[in-house]
Amino acid sequence: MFNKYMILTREFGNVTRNNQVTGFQLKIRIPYYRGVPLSLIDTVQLTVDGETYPPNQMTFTAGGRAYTFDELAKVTELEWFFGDPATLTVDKPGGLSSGMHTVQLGIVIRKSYWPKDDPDNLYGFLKGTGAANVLHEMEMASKTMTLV
Amino acid sequence: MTRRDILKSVASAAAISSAAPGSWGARGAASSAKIKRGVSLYSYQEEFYIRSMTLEDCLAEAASIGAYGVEMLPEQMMPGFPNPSEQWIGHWFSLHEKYGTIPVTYTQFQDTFLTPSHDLTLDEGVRMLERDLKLAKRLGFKNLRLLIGTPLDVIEKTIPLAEKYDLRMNVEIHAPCPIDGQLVHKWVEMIEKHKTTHFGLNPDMGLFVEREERIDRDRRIRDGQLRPSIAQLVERSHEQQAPQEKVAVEVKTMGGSPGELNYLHAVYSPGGQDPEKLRSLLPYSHHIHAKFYEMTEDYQEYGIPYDRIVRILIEGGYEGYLASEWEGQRITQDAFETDSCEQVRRQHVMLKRLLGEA
Repeated sequence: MFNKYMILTREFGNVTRNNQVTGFQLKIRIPYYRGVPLSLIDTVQLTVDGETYPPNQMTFTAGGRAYTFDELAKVTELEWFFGDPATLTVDKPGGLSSGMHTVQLGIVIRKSYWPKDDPDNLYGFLKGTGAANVLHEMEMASKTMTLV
Repeated sequence: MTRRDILKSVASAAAISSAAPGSWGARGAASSAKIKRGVSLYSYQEEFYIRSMTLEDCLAEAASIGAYGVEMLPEQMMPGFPNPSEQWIGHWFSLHEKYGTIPVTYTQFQDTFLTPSHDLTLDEGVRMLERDLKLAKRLGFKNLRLLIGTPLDVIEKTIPLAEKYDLRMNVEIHAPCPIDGQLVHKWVEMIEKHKTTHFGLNPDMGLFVEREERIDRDRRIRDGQLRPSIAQLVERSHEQQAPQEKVAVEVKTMGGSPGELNYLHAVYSPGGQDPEKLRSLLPYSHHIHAKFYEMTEDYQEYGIPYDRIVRILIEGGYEGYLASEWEGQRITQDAFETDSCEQVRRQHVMLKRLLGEA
């Protein structure tokens, strides 16, 4: 629901290691109404200027540490705090060019607070209400901004 | 004396003398009802998220409108969850001392699907809930809000722990859950079976939306799902009590989209249940969410009949908090700047009137 705040302009830029531009980074905030353990970050889908970057080309930095997306799935004790920027770092040798870029971001936070099963059909009232779709709903945002 | 002890003595002294510490005025003064006004800091979430209000700002604002009972989502406003620093906990209590506010309800989330590869077992679920009970205790809360999807077996196995820590776990009855349906019946059965006051209910007044919120209509229009001409036709027809099937035909003749037919359904069936159904559940209810979407300039909730609701709460002998829970921001934030404080203030003007507060 906080889509409009998801993509931050600040610190959007290329990443340099050992004098080589290895990729770029982007600061992002959670679209959900609470912070969540990193293991609940289900999907992060990033497209810049029409090119989509797969999760194995990105890391997610929170609490001062960078995690691969495989690692994120196991982190249950550290939260992506509500409103705090995390950093997406994307592998792309040479980085992005100076100038205007269109960034599209989709994030799925797993809605994890339902019972595993419902043998007595106690939750039957949810059927047809769209509540089930919300479980894996992707929040989308798009922003055009300048890389210096 | 620990900070928590100080807070407890402040709270009980205030209840007797009705004088809050500092310059924040009388607490619950001259009220004919025993219902107390509170606020879930959920209401201020957008300002907290964009960092235009801090936790201190939220508590100062709550105190300044007499909403002394505080509900909080630790995963919204407590850095380092689930392991806050001692320094933060000290800060939390010092703020309550400063503003005369009281920690009332801790909003818990039972993340059964915590990782993609493993769902919590019963015992792991109990451990997660116990973790939150302990944390809520450390933070001075009296109640834990449980979500509607908290597994029943986990709740049942945790009741002795809630008794041990002396916290009430109150499961939220939230729309569209039928108040008189099987799930609520199961919860009440469990309360009765264990003869416990440490498990109870937390009804959410969003159960009673009896008129489609106009901010929802306007959002549908902005999102391109609804033409203003169709919205007008539907509203006028509903006011004139035209049969829904007849209006559906008219909407279809105008090339009505599925979204427009969905709006027709929303206007004719806003989903609100009869507030009278709440009466028999009040003895089990330890906390209530005063959910709202839009408070108008004349201090009415556009779609929720609070006058009837509050009368039922008073007659039913409810003595807990009515905690504001504003959720309109998610409907309006695409086009308007959010002013959570103004919306909550308007609701408290209404609540003071309905509760007979001077």
